[in-house]
Amino acid sequence: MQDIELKHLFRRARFGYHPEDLKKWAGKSREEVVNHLLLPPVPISYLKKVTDDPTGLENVKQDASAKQIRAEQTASSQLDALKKLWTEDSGFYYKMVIFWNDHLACRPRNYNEGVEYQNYLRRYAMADFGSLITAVSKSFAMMRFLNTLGNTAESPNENFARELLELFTLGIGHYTEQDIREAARAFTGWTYQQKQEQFFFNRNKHDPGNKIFLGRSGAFRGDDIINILLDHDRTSVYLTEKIYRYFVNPEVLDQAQISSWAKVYRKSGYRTEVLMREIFMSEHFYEKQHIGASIKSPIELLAGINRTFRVQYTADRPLLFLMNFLKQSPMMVPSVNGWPFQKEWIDQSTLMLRLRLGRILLDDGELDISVKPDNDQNPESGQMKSLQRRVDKITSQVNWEDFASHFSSKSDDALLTSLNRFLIPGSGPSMQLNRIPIKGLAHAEKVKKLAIELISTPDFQMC
Amino acid sequence: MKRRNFLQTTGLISAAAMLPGFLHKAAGSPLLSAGAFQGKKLIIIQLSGGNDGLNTVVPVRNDLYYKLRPTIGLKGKQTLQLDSETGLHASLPILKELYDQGELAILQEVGYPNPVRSHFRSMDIWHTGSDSDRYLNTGWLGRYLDSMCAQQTCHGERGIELDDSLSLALRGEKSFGLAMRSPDLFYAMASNPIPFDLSNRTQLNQLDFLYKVLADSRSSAAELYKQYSGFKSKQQYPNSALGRSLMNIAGLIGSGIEARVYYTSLTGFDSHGNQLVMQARRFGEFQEAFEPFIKDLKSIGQFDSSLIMVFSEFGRRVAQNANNGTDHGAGNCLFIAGGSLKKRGLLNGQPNLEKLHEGDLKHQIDFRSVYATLLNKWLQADDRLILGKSFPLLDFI
Repeated sequence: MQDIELKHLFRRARFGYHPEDLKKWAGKSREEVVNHLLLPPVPISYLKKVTDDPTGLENVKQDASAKQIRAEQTASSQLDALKKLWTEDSGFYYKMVIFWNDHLACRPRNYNEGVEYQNYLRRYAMADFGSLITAVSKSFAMMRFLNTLGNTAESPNENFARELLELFTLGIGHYTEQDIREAARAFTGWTYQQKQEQFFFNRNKHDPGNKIFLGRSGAFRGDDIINILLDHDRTSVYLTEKIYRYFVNPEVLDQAQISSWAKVYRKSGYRTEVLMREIFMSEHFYEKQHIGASIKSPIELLAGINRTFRVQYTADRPLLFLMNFLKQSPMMVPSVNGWPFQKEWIDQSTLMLRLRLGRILLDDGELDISVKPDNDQNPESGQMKSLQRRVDKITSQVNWEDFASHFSSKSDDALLTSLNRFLIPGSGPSMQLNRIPIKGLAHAEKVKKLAIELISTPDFQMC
Repeated sequence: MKRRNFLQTTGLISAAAMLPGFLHKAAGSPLLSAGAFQGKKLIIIQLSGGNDGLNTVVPVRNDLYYKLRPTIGLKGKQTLQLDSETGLHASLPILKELYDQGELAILQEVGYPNPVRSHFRSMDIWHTGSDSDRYLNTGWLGRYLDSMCAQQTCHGERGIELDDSLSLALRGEKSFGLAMRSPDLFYAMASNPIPFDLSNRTQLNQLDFLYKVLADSRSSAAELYKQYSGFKSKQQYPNSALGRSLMNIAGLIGSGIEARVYYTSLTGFDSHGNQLVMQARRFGEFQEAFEPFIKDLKSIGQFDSSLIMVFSEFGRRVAQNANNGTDHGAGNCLFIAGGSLKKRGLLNGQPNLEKLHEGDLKHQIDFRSVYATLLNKWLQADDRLILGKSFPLLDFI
């Protein structure tokens, strides 16, 4: 694969690349790289429920309450899951997990409630969509979140039926309000046995009558509705379009390409691995107009920096705080509409922090923002200070000697050019070398300074 | 060398100075007037999640209401009496006070044809002002901001949203409003130099957008901060998101910031279950934050030049569901508060619970009539241009 294609693939399918990732795969065929990329992690990392056992936790005081211990365990599990994105080679698998978390969005009340749901995402991320959506729909978190639990024959609750059609399978405009009411009736009787931690169909609460759904008629139950949706022409197009926006181009949609991939997806029985292979093997994916056309999500931005520079953290807890500030708390979508997307990530405040993120993570963790000292009354200033306090606590290390050894030391100009090409998709920002005082510095110092300048540009926000 | 010094000594110039021409903002947009800003201001509070209007403005004499809501129907005695037929939710005494003083107008059955019951879609419709089967990517207030653009100069900063991110309502074609938690935070984030050259770059669509946001932030933040005197309120605001937002809006108005539109929201109104407790809690938050805000506006003499609209993206089903809640519905009530109302009180009687459409209230007033009225009669803007067609104007102002 050409260098430019390889970088594009790793940026989109994984979370960026270290120089050695490129070295390892340079010259290999597209097929070899894609085969490797699509390998599932062994083993797949499943989440465990947190308990109030303090064993092994560093930040917990002797007299900590059960609640504090659980909070600490939760944070440490979230960080573990987050770190896998850049430390392991299975970045693509977990990117798909994040994609499905966003698409089949569910906001659990707490970490433990979300574990079952998250593990379904992990189990079926690359398997068939039918298994995935069935499992997720029957998880306690989703059933509570979209009120399936309170959907009874006497008093149907339409929340789940609506989101299933509108957001998960067909998209708005491809069904009627009547379809939603009928689907809601079919899902009556779905319930959950909390003790046994399993889905349960309660015949007594089910409406056994005839339903007319998307032009078909029968005494449908919930599973029938899902099957009818999987059999609907629109579902594969809707899903493929969403995947296209996520992985290929967020704004300029090639409908002919989408419809052709949708056919592949449906024909495969909605096996996500088949669709993703088709996309990454295609010429279309590597066309120039897609390169650098997407805005990184906060997780892509953070994980990308960490993968690229192999950042080692000795204190990483504040990373969760940063992610929250940037609106993407791991595993916590804000609503059934999922996380923000593309431009929605960006407003004045988040952009400023995103542009500083490189310095925060790589350069002594200083936030470098000034807070008007006489305004202590304003609670927002408190929030700012608390951001600064937490950022101060990030301690990290980069082996700059090692990183720098991958870049030419021939001339400063050549160094800037090669770092630019390595870090930034497209032609990159124009940097005027004479404004950056690197003369006389050692090679690794030069690389560090220039790299930090480059990742503080809007251009580095692109993927 | 310390990085801070490094940045200073290298003289890496501020981003705004190096912006490509088409992004350059004309200098000197005067944001400041002496003292509080005297011009007309529109303040919008969005109740997100679909507030249940029938348990907000309650038809206390309507048997059908109690029949359809056997356990969550609010009894007349539990409400604040507005007139012989109508009670207001007991957690909203500030609205009752405004009502009694002739400073509140209540519109009922506000909605739009072919209502959509999805939160996102319905909120989009309210934000863009589109028909329910049309999709727009600009908001009605964004287009209002656009209408103030003169040649190359836009004034996005005339619309301020107190939030982490900007709502679609305030995104226009050429200009979009500022989103910030507070001027302090905004300034802190935007003011420090991030050294790179903004000229001569690629023309990627998403990337252009980032540069534009950056340019707008830089040129507004310093100005806004300089002029934001940290107006000291004598009121006690709660330490809640809405409390902070309204406190900051009062501060911005009080220190003479010439914004015409302020936008903020309170979330959590999606009461599919346990509605009585849930809605009372939300209204409690609203009450606590809204009361000091009204007092602030009055004490600085700005209540007469302010108009406050409180709305939600849809109402809820007339009949309750099995979880002592209500599902997504259609027509809803909407409040307008201010010191310059021409008509006040309950403007269009009681909602009709007999003639429902698929279990929902039918809309009597298109919400875009409310927008058109605010744009035309309050903000002196071209409502037809901004909304794309003509809607009947109402007479509350």
